[in-house]
Amino acid sequence: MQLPSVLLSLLRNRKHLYFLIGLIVLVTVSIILVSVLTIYISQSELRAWEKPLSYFSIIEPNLSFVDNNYKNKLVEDSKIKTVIEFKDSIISVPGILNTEYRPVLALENKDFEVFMNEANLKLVSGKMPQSNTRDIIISENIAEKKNLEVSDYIGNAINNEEFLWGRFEISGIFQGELDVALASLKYFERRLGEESSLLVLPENNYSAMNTSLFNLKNNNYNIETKETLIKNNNKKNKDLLDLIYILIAILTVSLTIIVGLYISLYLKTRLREFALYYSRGISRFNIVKFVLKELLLITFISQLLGVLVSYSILFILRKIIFSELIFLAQISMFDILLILPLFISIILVSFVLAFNNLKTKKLESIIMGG
Amino acid sequence: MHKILIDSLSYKRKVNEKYIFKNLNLEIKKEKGIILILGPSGVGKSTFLHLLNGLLKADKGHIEINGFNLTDFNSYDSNKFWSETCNLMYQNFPLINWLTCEENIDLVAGNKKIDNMLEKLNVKDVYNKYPGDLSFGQRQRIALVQCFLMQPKIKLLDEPTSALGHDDKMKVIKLIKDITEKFNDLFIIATHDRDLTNYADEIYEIQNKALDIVSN
Repeated sequence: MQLPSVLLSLLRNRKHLYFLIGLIVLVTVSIILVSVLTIYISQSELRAWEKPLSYFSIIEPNLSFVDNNYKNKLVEDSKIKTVIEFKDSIISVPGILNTEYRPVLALENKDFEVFMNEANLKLVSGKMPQSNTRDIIISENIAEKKNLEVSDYIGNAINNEEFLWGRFEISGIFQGELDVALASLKYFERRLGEESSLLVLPENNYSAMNTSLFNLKNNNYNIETKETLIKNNNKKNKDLLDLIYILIAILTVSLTIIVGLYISLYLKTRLREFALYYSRGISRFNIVKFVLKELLLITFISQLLGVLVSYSILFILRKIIFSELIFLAQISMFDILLILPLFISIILVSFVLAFNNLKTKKLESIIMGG
Repeated sequence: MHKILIDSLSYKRKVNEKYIFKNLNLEIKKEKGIILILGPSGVGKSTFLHLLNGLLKADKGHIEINGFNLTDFNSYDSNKFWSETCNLMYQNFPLINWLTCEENIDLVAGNKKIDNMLEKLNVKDVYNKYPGDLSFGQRQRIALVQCFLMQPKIKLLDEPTSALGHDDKMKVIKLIKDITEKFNDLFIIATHDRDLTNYADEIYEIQNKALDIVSN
């Protein structure tokens, strides 16, 4: 006698498996969404600065000014193309939980063109900010998300939920990959004082420039690159990640216990069938293998379904529920790895239960008991 | 040639410690044929088949079938014994409920042509149905087809005609007779039905905790 096909068995016994599949799908979706959304919310700073910091790096003085000696060293470095003095602020953009923002860079008028050329930004309407005025130019994306046009006003003097201080008039809108706003450094200095930071643009290669920056580093300055941004962000979110791990561990253990109980019941309903295989000469080992293949496949299919459902939920959130907001949450490999302990623990529990429920004596007594 | 040797077999029920068999001796050397084990209900016919199939262990004595020592469970591979030498069709005609009759039979027969057998047993119409949709008698006949197609040459049948009417019963026993001739199978049938005696090559009856030969 041979064993039937595992797939056919799953298909024909599916009514008994809906609960199990549903449960695994539910917990898989919970794990993925908890992880994706928590990490997404905690990364608003990364979303604001990661892209700009792939075009330039920032040097912030710890003291109140940048000494010319250090600035000259930077200018003379062959890996550095331009050093621009700037100040920064942030402008809110609509996102979930009102935490989304984008950088506002205040530059001298002579530096606008240099910066916009390097960052491939192109003014598509209005005009560049005039020196020492409250003019501001914003990216097309910010204009679209905030529903703003040239000549509109922004700032917390207009709307007290806005992160940008004061009142600014939108003098122009630009196109390009960077989601930032640009304003006049002179006007910022009037409000915030004369101390500026430095924005450093690479000659050719961004990482070669950063290596030079770190070689020239002295303790009076902080260097902010894309790498330091990511590193600091991860450090800042370590507690949050620990919390996610604890939550996922609780979910995994709880589900494994419930799944274990259900698998035990499921195997009991099919004991007569397994006893029949045994009585026809199929070894206990092969029957256990057959059962484990079934449970492995169910767990795999359920988790795959869970991932697909999570993708669908995120798609619906992005395209329908939060379509007016900036919502970029995506499932990463990290989120997929978080469901792996669940898979392993279900398989381990299945293994123990299969061996425990399919003992030879039990199978023999079922055959003879009828 | 199949060789079944039972020497001084004693077996008592674990529930009430009462002996069912005491000092039972039997020797069968036969290539094919039908051997009937007769006796009223509760006398120990099923127990006798379970002992022959190695499912129960004798309290005393020795059972040997084609070189397999069934009184020492550790001396042989029971899976090999059941899949190659001797198999039992249980009284409750177990079939896998989520497989159709055809799929149930395919598990043991592969793609053998069995139309003739199905027609003889009058179960061709139910071949594609699930066991749960069959009458008790139809289920019994499908289980019999499965048993007939299994590889072991020694086939133990526990009350194979209990759920059948007279006509179907005759068809079954005639088919068993044909199979013994055609495939050299040896059937040992436990039954209380004396209508089958005309087709048997040897008949034993369980009496006084032993097997008495009635005819051969």
